[in-house]
Amino acid sequence: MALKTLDFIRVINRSFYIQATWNPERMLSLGYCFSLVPFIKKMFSKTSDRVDFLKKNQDFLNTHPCMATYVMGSVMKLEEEHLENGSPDKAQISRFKKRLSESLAATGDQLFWAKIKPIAAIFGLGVALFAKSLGLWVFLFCYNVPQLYARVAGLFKGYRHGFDLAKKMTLSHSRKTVERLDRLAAFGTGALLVTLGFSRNIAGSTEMIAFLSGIVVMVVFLKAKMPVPLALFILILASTIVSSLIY
Amino acid sequence: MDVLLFCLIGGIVATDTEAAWQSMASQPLIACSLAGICLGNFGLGFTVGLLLQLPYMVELPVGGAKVSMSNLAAFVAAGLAVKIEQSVQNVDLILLLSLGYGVLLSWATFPFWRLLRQINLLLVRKADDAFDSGNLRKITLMNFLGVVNALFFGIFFSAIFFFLGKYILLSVSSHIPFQLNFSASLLKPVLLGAGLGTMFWLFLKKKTVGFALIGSLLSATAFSMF
Repeated sequence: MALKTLDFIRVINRSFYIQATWNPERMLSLGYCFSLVPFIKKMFSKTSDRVDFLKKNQDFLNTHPCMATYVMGSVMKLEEEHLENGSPDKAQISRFKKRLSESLAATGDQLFWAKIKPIAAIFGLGVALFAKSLGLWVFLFCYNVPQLYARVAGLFKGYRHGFDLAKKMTLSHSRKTVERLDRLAAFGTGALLVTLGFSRNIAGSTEMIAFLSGIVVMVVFLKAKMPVPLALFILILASTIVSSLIY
Repeated sequence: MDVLLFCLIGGIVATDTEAAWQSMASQPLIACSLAGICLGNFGLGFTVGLLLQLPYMVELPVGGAKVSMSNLAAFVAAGLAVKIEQSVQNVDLILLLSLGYGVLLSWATFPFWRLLRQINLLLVRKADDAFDSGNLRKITLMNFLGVVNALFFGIFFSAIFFFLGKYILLSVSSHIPFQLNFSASLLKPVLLGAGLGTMFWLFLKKKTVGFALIGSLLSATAFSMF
């Protein structure tokens, strides 16, 4: 039975809940199977085939939630080909799924958690200093547009390329993207530094010194691998003591 | 009624953090603003979110990494800031008390993530017979229960620590001498600096210094023109 656009939309919709039952033992396995239910219903009319597919995907699966649809699309294609031609075999599909999901986990972490999320926060915060509500929307927009693109494009690209997806998504390509995002983040950080200086939050010279001290001390704490809550608590305490002495 | 809505939004914050969507609506800047809107002071809620947003960016929720409950704790801190405003007049002091509580809360409660995930593991094991029988409805139900788990977790977390925090902070604030009312005036610039320091730590390297300088120059030029 051929997959229709509606089936793909249903899978994408379900992929937003892939982390619902995240656990340290099997991570995303249940969420992954949940997301593929529309595909399973379409492709496997016999219960034994469904059980076979589900048992294969019951174990540990670790990938990034925004990149999971690349894995889903590829597996959907390969399972479809297996049903039609008997090739590739199920062991090949399982091995491919494992390798792809692990590499996309690292790529997704780098792209989304380490780059896109802070960049969205930087630009959202910068705008929010002067237009609060607009800044919140900028933050949401800057993160969710790439997220939605990855989820939607991922499923269709994965389905189009199947095994070839691994060649298309090369390490050098993701490295270039990460480098560009690094530059954008640095640009945003530099702009935010000046924006904060001009905002009403830092009015006088004492506050400017406190602001610059906060930057330096936080870098030192992070270099010492101090947990963020502890670093913030020390800073809150220190600023209180200094304020009490000054005022 | 507004506190009930606050707790419900706390549930949504917990859900958006991991279980569903990951739309960043659970991030401190947005969640705290929502807390402010809900309890009647958007500006104060926004300020709490502004101060707590950037420092926690360095915590990456990678695999089984231990991360603090920053989103929920910041949300509760914002709610408390708005609630104690009626009793504590000085805004800097309100921020000091609520931020101090929020930061400690984020650190002390990270084992709660383990509890949430253990419940998820129970749901996954309950779904094993669904895998054995090909029962897609049960798989859907078990996954859906994971979302419900996160929602109720967030609601209870927000409720418990909001009321506990209100009791603690109002007790503490009633014992603070008048002279210390101005002891928190440097809090905002220091925490904003801490946030920016986090960004420098993450992104300022030899290859990117030039881009940071360009950003600063362009921003300075734009401000000087306007």
